Amino acid sequence: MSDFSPLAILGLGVVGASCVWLLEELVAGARPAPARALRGLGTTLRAPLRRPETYDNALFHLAPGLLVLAAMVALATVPWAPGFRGIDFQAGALLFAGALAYVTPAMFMAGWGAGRPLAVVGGFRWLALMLAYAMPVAMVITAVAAPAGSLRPTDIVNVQHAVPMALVQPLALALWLPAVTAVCFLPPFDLPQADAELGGGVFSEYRGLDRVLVTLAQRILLLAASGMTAALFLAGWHGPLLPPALWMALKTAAVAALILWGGRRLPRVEVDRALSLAWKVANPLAILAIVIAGGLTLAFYR
Amino acid sequence: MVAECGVRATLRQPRPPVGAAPLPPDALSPVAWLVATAGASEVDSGVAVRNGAWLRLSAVELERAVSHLAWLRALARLLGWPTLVEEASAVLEPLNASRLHLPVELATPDLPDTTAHDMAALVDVAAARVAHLRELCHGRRLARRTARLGVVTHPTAVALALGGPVARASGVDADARSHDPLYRELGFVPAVCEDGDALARTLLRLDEAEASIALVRHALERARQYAVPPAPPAAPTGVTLEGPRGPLHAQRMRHEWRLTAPGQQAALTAAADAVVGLEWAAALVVLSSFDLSPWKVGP
Repeated sequence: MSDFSPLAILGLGVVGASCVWLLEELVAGARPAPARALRGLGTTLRAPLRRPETYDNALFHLAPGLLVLAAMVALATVPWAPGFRGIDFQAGALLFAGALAYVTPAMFMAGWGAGRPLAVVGGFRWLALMLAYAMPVAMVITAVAAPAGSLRPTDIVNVQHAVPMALVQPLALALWLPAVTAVCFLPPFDLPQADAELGGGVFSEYRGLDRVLVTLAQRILLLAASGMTAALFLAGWHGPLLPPALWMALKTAAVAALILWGGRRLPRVEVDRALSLAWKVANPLAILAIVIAGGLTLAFYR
Repeated sequence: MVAECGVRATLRQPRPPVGAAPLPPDALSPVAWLVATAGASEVDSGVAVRNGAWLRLSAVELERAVSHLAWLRALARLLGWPTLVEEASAVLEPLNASRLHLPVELATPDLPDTTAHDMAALVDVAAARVAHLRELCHGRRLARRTARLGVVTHPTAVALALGGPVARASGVDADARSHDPLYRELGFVPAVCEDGDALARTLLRLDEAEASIALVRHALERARQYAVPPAPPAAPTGVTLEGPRGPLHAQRMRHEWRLTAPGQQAALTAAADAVVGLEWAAALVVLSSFDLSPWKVGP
């Protein structure tokens, strides 16, 4: 059963991105000034699009659109409430990972299309990073799906009605959070854009609407990743007293705030170290998490 | 290879125009140069009155603390670490406010009591805040990005005749302040590290900034008490003063000035050698750790 509603998802994405902006301001300790932010948005939108002096002009301008599309599909797979489920596929959790995989070509197109050395370096950094962090994301999804016996996010939420998966599988949660932070290219994994190191990296040449789309995509990605974290590990909309949608919103906001807060507290991870952590630590531990999930399923969820 | 080409290209030296007046080799330390040239003028004229000696010391040390902390904030931005940026800014804020109280003419013998009191209060605020900054910098988070990078060994530092914090981070116990009676009276002891890497240079600058804040506090107290400064050392060849990036030498010879910053060229050489073979991000961190003056770096 699917309640797919593209307009509703689009609306959720735009409103959610605004909420993420508000959260960013609060986590940074700044007083939110919506009027000033809207003026800044207007100024950015009025700026003309940049036309890079390369033959990959099309790739350059397609990348922000693809990024937004991937983020919206990821957002649509999140089970927000019993009556609002977006794309409710049988393998919806894997579709979430699949949507995130489309961030990779978008980022590389942005870096390559810009035709600047540091932007290309940012694109290659992203390729290396995603090869390393896409696997933990998929393996952790497998681990949390095992107790539910289903890859449908709604089923995974429902199997947590008694105990959230965060308590049952803390290792999987510990692997999931850094991986989705990396997928959202947020600090401390903001290696492809790394403002001070690469001067904006893959996004350094974007102006006007392109710039706005990139920012929108990043915020929607954070929203989707936080929502999926709440669904897979924090029992989604289950909770006492409050309405289910409110529980889901609160849990999503808490996860997003944690990710943003962590990014402010830690310096950017070196690319070598990020890759070393992924291949030598995160991937082996993700396999271990699947084994643990199998044992737990046999013992408690059969 | 990218780092090597980029750095060697950017470190080429500008040539001063023929016949032009010599510029201060490091325009990022205007107060230190002002004090050095004022001292050299006094040596040249033979009237070593040392008017406002405590005030000058306060100004130079404030400049050093601000320079080191602003450098640390720039490093934090490079590392993408907002918390460290905020903590460094929190210490810089009262120090910059304190600098605004300094009279333009640093040779003024008298500092109004209220001004000294206000400056001391601001410096105390900075001293209280620097503790948290120290805690952050001594943790593992900074060490992971800076330790064992861009190592300059003690023999290399001696061979290159490095000066300033870069040399002291490599274990070279050279600081022009050690020979100044003013500093000796305040119990100054130069900070020295042994490791010689980017982390050592960072921690040494933090130690120096903290020591400078303490020196300013003591000097302001002396100024308020109208304490008589000790006599300056005999210096027939001008004045050497320890600036934020190393020693500054000022000598007045009749109608012309000779301003030099010994060790700056050596720092450029050491920086260019230290970044070879490093990944881009690591190379930038190492280059930053040398705190090169942009007035000396250019095409």
